[in-house]
Amino acid sequence: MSDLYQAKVLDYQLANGITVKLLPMPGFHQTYAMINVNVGSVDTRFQPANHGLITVPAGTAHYLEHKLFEKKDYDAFELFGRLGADSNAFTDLCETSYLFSTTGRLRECLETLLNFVQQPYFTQKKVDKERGIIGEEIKMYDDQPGMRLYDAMVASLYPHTPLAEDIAGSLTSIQQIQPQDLQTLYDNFYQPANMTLLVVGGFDPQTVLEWVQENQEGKQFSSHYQRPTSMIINSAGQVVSNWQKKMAVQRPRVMIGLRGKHNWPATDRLKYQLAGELFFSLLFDESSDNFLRLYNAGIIDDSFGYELEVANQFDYACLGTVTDVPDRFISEIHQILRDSKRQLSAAAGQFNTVKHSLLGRLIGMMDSPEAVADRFAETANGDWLITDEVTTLRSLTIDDLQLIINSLIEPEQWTTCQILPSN
Amino acid sequence: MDYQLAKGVKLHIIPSSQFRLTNIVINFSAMQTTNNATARHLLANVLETSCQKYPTQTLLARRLDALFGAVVSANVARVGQIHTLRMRAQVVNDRQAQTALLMPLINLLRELVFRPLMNEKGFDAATVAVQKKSLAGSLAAINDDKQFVAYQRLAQLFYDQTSPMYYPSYGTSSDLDSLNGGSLVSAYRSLRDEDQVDIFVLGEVNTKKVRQAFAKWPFRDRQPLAAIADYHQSFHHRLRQQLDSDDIEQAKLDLAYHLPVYYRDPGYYPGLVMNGLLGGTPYSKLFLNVREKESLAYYADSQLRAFSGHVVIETGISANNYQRVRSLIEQQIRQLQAGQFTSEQLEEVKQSLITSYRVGLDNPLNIIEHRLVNELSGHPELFNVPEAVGLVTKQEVVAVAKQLKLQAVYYLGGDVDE
Repeated sequence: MSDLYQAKVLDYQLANGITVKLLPMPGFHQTYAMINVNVGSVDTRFQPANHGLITVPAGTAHYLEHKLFEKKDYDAFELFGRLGADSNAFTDLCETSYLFSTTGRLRECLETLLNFVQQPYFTQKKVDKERGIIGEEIKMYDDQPGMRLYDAMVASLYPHTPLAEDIAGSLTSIQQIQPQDLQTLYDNFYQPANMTLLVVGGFDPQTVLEWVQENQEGKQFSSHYQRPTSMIINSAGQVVSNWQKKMAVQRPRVMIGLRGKHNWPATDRLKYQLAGELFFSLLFDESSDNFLRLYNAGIIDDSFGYELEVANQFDYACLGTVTDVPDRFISEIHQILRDSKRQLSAAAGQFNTVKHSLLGRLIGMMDSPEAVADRFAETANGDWLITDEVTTLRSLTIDDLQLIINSLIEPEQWTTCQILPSN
Repeated sequence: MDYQLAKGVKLHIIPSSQFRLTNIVINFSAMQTTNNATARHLLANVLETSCQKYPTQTLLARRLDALFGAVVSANVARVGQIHTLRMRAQVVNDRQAQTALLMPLINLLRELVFRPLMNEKGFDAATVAVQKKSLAGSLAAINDDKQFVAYQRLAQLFYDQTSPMYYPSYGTSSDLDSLNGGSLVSAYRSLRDEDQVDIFVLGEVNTKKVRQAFAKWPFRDRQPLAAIADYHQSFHHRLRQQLDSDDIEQAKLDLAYHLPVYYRDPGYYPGLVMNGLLGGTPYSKLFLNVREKESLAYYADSQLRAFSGHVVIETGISANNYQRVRSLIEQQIRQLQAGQFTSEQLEEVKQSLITSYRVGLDNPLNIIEHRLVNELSGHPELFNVPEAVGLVTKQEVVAVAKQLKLQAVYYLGGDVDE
């Protein structure tokens, strides 16, 4: 297995505080670069050091992401286009990511990325114009029952918190967003020490590092930055145990959410994340005893899946399916979860196979610069790379799955959300 | 490197040390008919979940887990009028894993293809019943994806009702109801013994060993496909238009333009660039003028259907903007036809297409797809795509754009003022 480590990651922190991670992949034509900023949709209430509480409307981080591309005399998106590169950005609960992929003119692309993220330009006119596009985006999500259900599940787990708001905000909240809100969020979070630049794919790491250093040395940033403290789950009320909505869907959709108990510092977070993936894999994957039984009984179908979200201040898991018998799905899943300690011991013989299987999937992702970068943003919130996952995973034992039982197996912290056909 | 395993059965080995995984695709091709898609889709789902050696999904999944999380799946897709059933497999290569995984995986695939869960009476009834129910559920759930629903209804407006293309490649609920064990057996036998087969193996492999392993598979000779993928339909002067009312937040307006430009025709690369300028890239007229400048849509894009002679435009809009968006789209087409785009825009789009092509070289499934499409379209030779795109001129783009003729318009959403 030693060969797995031929993927060598170079990890630096530059003088201004920005973290740079470089993962060269020999033989690849494309280079994929991503700036990950440690701010997301949940950062709507925060307290900078020696300052009172600041609030911004729901959806501000996502709005900012849209507007950051537009500058006084250029549009970064078009600039990437002229360089022959593709660019994109996305906002998640805890982070915002800006990225490009290219097969040439790498230096110009890297400078464009660093410059447009690090030089804001918000005007009233441009901010007002974006309201239409973001409104359409929100409406499009509203028509997708899968997304409605997921958002309702998170909102039910964390009522009265920023997690209860959709990532893009609402049609009402986006009306309130002003240039000043974008600037406030920007000033508080878009600082080098709160960002990571990841470059993955075909490139020469030494040269890229020099380009980045040169670019960063030419810019001024405030020298003493401390990330504001975000008030995310401090105000969370009791879990809302049931939520239902009727929509014009063909078949019922149901999702069970489990609110975790702990705050996870980055180092433990990775272990917890992977233990969680193994836990759900052993209990619910196709290779488990439960899957086929539920599948053959018509309780789940190919849409069945689970997901784990592990952030610094909160963690939750969810399981969902499309089914004609939502009540049976709920009681079956509840029973398996309640019984998970015994079920895990029964499946202990499978542990090593399932661990190898996850290892194989992680190795497979290393065939794709995009998969490496996406996982870095979505699962790791910028804190670790897939190579770290491989190392940590190899050290896990079945006893580590107790972490998951301790955190998630608390029925009063569970919610059940359903979207039912309106006719 | 290509090897003939039997008449109509080819093995294509693509050695590469770029990837940690080895990818295998076994592609079965037959002409789509008005009624074969559903049975083939159900067959794909049965074949990917069971075989005589691993009769349940659980046992099969455990076997795959033991092969370092190897993945096997089967699905259906269409290339022009050719219906394809593909079995795909991925596994960590033997050097990375430091253990032999490829040969056991090839053996497992042989079990899935040649020893499915059936006896002289037919496929295992319980397995078929479960997969049938599951497919029925997936087909019903498609209706919840409004963007896809609109696209599908546009396709049905565009295609003549007598054409096999009128029927979706993934099948229909009504066909599924009428399927029985017997129809599944005949679908399997014709797949196994009559379909053209193309097997692709891409990765760091020992070519000789791979060849020897597949040479043992008991394929019979069969006729290779006589026709190629291209589907031709003549332009009808009556515009096919349909407006459906639906209680959704965001309305969908989709258009289909007739364009007789086919894969690797002289007009193909100009057609690709034209589509890139229209709505196929983020630097396109639809994206910049409909979405960005006018803020009228969250998505607005176009696709060149180079195996069936048309261009599709999809938009997500507010119902009250129907007329404005529609005239704006038609205005973008007229501008293309009048050559109203700058040489910078042309270069940008060409660059973007070349970049996507190069990026595709980093994706094993994309490389295989490209090779498969070349096989099925009767153009198996490799081709310098960046060069061909680079040589496209403004005149060629305009000439292709002038052939665009609006054939079908589909709208889904709240009431509009006509």
